[in-house]
Amino acid sequence: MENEASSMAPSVPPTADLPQAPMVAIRGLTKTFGSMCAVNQVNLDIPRGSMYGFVGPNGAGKTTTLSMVTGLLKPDAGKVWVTGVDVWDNLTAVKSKIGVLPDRLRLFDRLSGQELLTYTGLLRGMDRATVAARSADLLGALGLTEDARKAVADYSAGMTKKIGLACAVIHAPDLLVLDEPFEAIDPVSARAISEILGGFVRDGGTVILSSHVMDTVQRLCDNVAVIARGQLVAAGTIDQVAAGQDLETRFIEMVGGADSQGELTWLRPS
Amino acid sequence: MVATLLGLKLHLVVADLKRSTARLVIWILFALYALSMIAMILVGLIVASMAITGNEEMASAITIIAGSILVMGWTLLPLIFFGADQTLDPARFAHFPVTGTKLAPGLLLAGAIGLPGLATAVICLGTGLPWWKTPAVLVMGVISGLLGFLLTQIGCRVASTALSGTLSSRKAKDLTGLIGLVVVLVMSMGVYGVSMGINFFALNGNPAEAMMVARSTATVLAWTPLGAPWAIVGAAGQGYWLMALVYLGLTLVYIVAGVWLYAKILDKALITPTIAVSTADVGKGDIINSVTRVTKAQGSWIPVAAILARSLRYWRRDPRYMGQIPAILMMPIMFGIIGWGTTSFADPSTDASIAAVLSKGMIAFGLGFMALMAGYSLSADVASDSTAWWTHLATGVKGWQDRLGRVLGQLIWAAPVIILVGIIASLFLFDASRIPSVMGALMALYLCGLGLSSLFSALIIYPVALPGESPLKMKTGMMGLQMLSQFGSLIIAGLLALPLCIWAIFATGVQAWLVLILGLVWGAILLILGVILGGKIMDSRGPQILASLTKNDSRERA
Repeated sequence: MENEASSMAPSVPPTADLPQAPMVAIRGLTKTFGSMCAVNQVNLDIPRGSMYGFVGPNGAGKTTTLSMVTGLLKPDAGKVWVTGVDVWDNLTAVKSKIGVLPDRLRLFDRLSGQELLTYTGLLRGMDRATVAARSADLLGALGLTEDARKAVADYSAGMTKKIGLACAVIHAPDLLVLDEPFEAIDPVSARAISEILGGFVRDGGTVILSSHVMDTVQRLCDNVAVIARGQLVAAGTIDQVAAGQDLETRFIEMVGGADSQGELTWLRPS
Repeated sequence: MVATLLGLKLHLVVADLKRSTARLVIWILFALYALSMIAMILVGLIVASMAITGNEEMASAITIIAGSILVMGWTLLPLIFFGADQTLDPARFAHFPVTGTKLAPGLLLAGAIGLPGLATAVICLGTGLPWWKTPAVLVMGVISGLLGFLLTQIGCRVASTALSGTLSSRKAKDLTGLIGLVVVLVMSMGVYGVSMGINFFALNGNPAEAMMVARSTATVLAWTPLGAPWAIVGAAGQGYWLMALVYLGLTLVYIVAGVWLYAKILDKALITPTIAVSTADVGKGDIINSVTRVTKAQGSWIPVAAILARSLRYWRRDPRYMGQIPAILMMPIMFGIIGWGTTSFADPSTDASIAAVLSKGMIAFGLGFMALMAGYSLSADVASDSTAWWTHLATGVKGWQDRLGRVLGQLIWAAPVIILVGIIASLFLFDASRIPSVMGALMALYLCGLGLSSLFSALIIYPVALPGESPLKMKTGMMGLQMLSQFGSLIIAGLLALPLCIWAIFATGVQAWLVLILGLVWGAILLILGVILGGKIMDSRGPQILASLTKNDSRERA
């Protein structure tokens, strides 16, 4: 099954901003922290207009890979192109096309939700009027209007995720890179976010999202890449990767595990 | 239960030390320091035994006052270092079927494990040493020490648990952090002032009067939970055995009441979730929007205005920033007190002019130090953002925009304050003709500080208190090179402005105005250089800066 991944990766990297260039092309991407190789020789193409799921067990290298795509972490080796443009040679140009939602990084949480949105928009160089109009829209769409003036420090985990997502999209990027966007999100908000992302992809945008929940990926994404221990295990459309099975079952098969050793015979109500 | 909790705490302490060699080294250094302090105090107590005969009453008063300060200190400790040690946070036991009564003794004793607790215990047990020639009193001293030590721990645990209950909201945490900071500032200056006062009294005043004050203070303290345990040995030492028994009974009552209170608070803590809930709005409008509108920022100045606005909010709302303001403003006063303290012993008949010059010089030095520190306070700015700084990196903000926005966010209010303080101090110390030269020196110092911190905060990310933490939280990760570079760059900033400061001392007339102009120009040049160079460094080191910030963020270590 692993050969599917390598067969899909073109050997010649794209060099120009051509319509046929993939949204993101990753070649030989490698990052080592001390003695631990977090990401090892990853090759991956993410087609334009796709909703691309990025899955893997804890500590598999998902966040590390996404950080190298968005220009937040410098790779030790390998290259990343976004619409055919080398990310690490054209950081400013590439960053303006990407919207980012990192996982586990802080926000400027002494600002209110409204202010954080304005801040992010203005840092992007947008004008005040556009930022004001879009932030009102975004706060409404994500159900944050009532809490817009509260400090982000006082937000719940789900609200923090939502304001982070709003910050990621305010400049209408071509590519959204979202690390665990559905974590701690209630079903109502999850539906709203899915619809926003679906509309974005229908209009030609590209989304990369990481998740632990296979059901979410299977329902939402058209493509999926599986990473384990820093290496790409499989990539392709959901059907290709799932190979006739349920994605979760297939995922557990691929990354190994679930071979439980012995039963907990005592675990019953006494 | 007691054994389990003690074992747990011991395990946590050892595990923490094993985490890194640096921690272990620092711990050993602190242990050596504590040992030397203990040895000094114990030797002092034994030496005191030589002078005890005839001075029993004085010895009793000193024991009671010192012991009361100890208990008070332990009780105030959580106010200053709240959240510093949550390893045995009662809320963490909420999931287990335990009651406050069951937990209280174990948690009390577990709190004593660690350097400060052990050091306090040893010193407490030595309470009776001055009376070692009378074994019966020595025994009473050990009892005094044991019970007194218990009261220090009860005070500390009760205060910290009661605080953690009220500190579930962010606002209360902010406020407590600020209060703690002010307490430390006032206390450190207060201790200096009191010791100066005692010296003054001893040199110029009447020793008998000082004795009177001490005795009446001790008499009152002896009846409170602060002083009661120490009054046992005090009374016994004077031969009042019946009184000693009364104080013993009183102390036991206080201990039982304290443990009972602690158990009650624990019971409450076990059922109170510590989830932060605040419904307060940050402000009426959108500060980022307003500032950008008012400044009419266009093009690449828009991010600068946004960062300026964000800085303003943090200086106003984040205790880590706000706490620096009184600390910096207090410098002239602090140096003034030191100057006064030093010169008050001078013989007025011969050294009047020297004393006056020295005293004024100290205030002037404090004034300059204030300006320098105000500029240099920005050196921890990126570190204080912690990982939130990813927003600047991901949005492609230029280094110079980041640097300049932060500089302006402080300059806009700090420069007027420095000017105002400078004018008042010039009029108070010298006369109006000195204002231009004083101002020139102050501005050179302030702007040099700003320039150097703009450069170094992009170069070196050292561990600071994280967002939401107490501004007084100690960071042990700051080691060797980082520390050296921080103080080194502060000294460089001072040296760069030093020639102007020296000139300012002697400049009069037209020269004074020259100092002002040159100070502003020289400071502005260094500031601009700092912003440009710091910006370039930030542009090229962005990902490394984020990596350092991530490493310093305890959230990431999970």
